[in-house]
Amino acid sequence: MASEMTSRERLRRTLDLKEPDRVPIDCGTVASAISNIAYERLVNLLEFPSELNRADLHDPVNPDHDLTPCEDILNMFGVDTRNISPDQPIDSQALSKTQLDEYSYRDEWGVVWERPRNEIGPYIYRKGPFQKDGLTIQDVEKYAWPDANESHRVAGLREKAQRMHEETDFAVVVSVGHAPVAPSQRLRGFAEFMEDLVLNPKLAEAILEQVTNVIVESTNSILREAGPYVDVVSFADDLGFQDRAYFSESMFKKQIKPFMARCVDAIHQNTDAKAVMHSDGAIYALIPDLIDMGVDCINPVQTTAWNMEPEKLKSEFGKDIAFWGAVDTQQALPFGTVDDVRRDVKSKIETLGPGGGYVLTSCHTIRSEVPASNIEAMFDAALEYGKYS
Amino acid sequence: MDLSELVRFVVEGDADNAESFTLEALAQGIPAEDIVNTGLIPGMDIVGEKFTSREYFMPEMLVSARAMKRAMEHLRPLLVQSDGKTGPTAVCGTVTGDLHDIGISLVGMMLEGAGFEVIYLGPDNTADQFLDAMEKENAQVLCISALLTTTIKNMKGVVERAKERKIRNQMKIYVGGAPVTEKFAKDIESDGYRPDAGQGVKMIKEDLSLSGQINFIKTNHSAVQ
Repeated sequence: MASEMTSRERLRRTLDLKEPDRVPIDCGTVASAISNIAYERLVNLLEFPSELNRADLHDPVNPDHDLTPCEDILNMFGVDTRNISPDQPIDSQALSKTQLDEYSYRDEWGVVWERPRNEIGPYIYRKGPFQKDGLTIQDVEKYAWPDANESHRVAGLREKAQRMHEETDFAVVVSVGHAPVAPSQRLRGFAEFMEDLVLNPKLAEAILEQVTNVIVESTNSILREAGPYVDVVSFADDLGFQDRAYFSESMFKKQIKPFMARCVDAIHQNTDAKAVMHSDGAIYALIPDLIDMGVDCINPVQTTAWNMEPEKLKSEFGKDIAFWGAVDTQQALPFGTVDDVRRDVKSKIETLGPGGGYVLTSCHTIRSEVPASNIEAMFDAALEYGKYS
Repeated sequence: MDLSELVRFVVEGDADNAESFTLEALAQGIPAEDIVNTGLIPGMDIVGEKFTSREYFMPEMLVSARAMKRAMEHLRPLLVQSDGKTGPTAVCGTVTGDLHDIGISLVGMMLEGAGFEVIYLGPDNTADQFLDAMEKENAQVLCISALLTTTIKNMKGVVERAKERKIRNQMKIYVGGAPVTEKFAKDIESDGYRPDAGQGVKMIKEDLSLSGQINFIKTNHSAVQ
């Protein structure tokens, strides 16, 4: 391989499924931030005392939230990516929410999120406005959907993206939020939406249709500003449990894929950046459809889930799609030793790295219990083992 | 009437027909106990197998459980035993700090479909909340779940607390959830783990039968006039 590449060249090359000079490293962009609780220990270990004064380190109503490390730490870890975000995206966990009490808030879609009362923990969605008997298609159509076109949402985004593109060599990542399944489930209720897909497919379709309209509008408005300057556009959905996908392949193809494809199309129509899709869980069976829709890379590659062994994914799909993530957050990072983490990083690089198509990071946000020494070990090992010869 | 029809309605998730068939069967004098034992339970057994073999996914399973429940609503009042329960009792919920209750709610539905009385506590329960419910309900089975790697430690706390309260040997404690493994379940001295709800409920039924604790649905005949 030729002389050392810039971060941007490295990332673009690997997403083109070609080998760069080393495996690119991500932190803080696609579901790869660090819990503030773990981050506090990390900055103590790395001796960055000024980070302990960060305004967002402690938040009384959100005591377990995600942070991106400071520039110095990102550089120390060799992180190749930088995130830019719209100030007020249509995003369940963004700023534009109404705190209801110390433990709950309502997002812009009308969904109520709660955090546990018995112990510090993250928010998850608990109650949606469509979670009621007798919901009709008309109710869905006339619902007060969030307006993605409000200009304040993307104010300053173009300048931010342009600056990052012109003044740095980092790979610039922007998130456009969700694909249609997760918001539909939050609005309708997880079980209710699942049942609708079988018992009332027209109602499920109406919800997916409206949600997709909002997402496409939002994607258009974000990428109109940032599109020319970004290298990667990420979006997220929820398609998998630990032991299986949410849906059978046939249900996915028929009832979900058409809506998700519109979201991916909106990305490609606005930018030549790569589309990275996040979904946790056992999504093996759906990957051919993701490839078919134009998804360039999948995250987080949860290799502990059923049928998600990295060898299998690389050999079956590695010619068509790239992988982003894969370092184990269910065993190695939280419960393993430093050596376990190093071994995991090495093995993921050896399996997913050949031929390019691999961006290394944790296969989910680094949660509060992960020891600081394991976080450091992941990035150290990534730099040590990641070189292509 | 051929109760295998009801099995089919449950497997196909046909709630309307499951309900009307059940009402018709009761009208013809078929004991509620037979309807449950020959129709609903075998139906949900098949659903569990189809889920385990990944022929069924979550949507199909929920729709079957819904059909079972619709029929059960008419049978439950006829099945109550002297202790006010329809069968062995299971308490289900997620542990402290974890609000992810989709998996455990599925386990609860499957247990109901297997003839259990289910006390569903929902998310974020302390060890004492679980154990208080176990004692209050005189329950035999405790199913606890966690999705987060930050919260699975609290499963061990439940088992330990049951020992401290000297009631550990009065119950079976089963664990489940994304980060849980067979080894973890053994290490914390739980009674078992399975990777999906179908296999989990099968294990619980087998365990209870083996230990002689199972006493599946008996009709309170005095209630059937």
